[in-house]
Amino acid sequence: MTEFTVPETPTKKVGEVKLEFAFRIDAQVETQHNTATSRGDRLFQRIIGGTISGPMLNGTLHPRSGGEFGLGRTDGAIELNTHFLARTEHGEMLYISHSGIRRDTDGYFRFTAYFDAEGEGPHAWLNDTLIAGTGRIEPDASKISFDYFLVG
Amino acid sequence: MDKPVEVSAASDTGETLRLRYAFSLSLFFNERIRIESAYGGARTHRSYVAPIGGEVFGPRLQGKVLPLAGADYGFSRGFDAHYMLQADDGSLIYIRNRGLMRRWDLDTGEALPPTAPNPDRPIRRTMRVAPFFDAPVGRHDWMNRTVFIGHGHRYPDPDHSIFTYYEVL
Repeated sequence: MTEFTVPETPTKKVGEVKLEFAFRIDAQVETQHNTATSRGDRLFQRIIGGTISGPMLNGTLHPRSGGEFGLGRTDGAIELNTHFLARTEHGEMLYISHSGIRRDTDGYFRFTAYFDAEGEGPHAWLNDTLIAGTGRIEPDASKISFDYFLVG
Repeated sequence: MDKPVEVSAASDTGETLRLRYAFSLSLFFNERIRIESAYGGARTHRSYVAPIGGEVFGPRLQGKVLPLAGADYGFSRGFDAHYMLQADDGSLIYIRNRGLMRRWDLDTGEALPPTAPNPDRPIRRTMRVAPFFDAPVGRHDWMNRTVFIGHGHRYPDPDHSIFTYYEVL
């Protein structure tokens, strides 16, 4: 086996990030269905429609284009797995996907979001920007609000 | 103990998101392999960069990066790395380091397209990552139930990267 000499880490400076509010999505959702699988409960909650509003993006959700497909694990966490399409105010379609964690014990609902936007369009910046977010479920479970923050 | 490094922002309706520095990784490399035109055109590639080792340091996790136990299998738009960490108590922790890279011209400060081929002269690269971890049941299992984001920077001589991870609170 090859032995390597691993150098000392030259600097242990903390890499700084910035956080900036980007937009909010208010999504209307249907009732959640659970499928008990050998890996946990696979959840399905269809997104019926909704709106995008905020300083960096405005538009609507493409109706019935996806939803939340989370996995409820045996350790109490739900692995978020969300997919849907949106239409911007300029008419461009976006693919949006979240992965993250929800905990029913303390209401934690955080995710990172991934976007596919047209490479030459006004929203191309979404293709190479990291976005983190927080979600809130309305008490009657008919709506989920997502707040998206740009990680600069 | 130093004051925690925290960053926060609020939405227009007062929803806040807070980040708190958790720990860092240094990753040292001695080989970079590139498969050119890997999928869909002249400006696409797949790369392989495996760490020969590194350190885990910071307030919430300390340990090391196991040598050649994973790699960054990067591609044109970003990277997708798998590494195995070993905490100071011996626990093995898997990290999947998914991220995006922006490339900048050092001279003009202009952003270069994500699919631009590697120029001969040095460029500045900034990385942001959304990792996830698989930690064993025990003192590190909070990592399984927490969302993280990270900052990454690549350095030459010796070839290494440092990733700074924040818990999304």
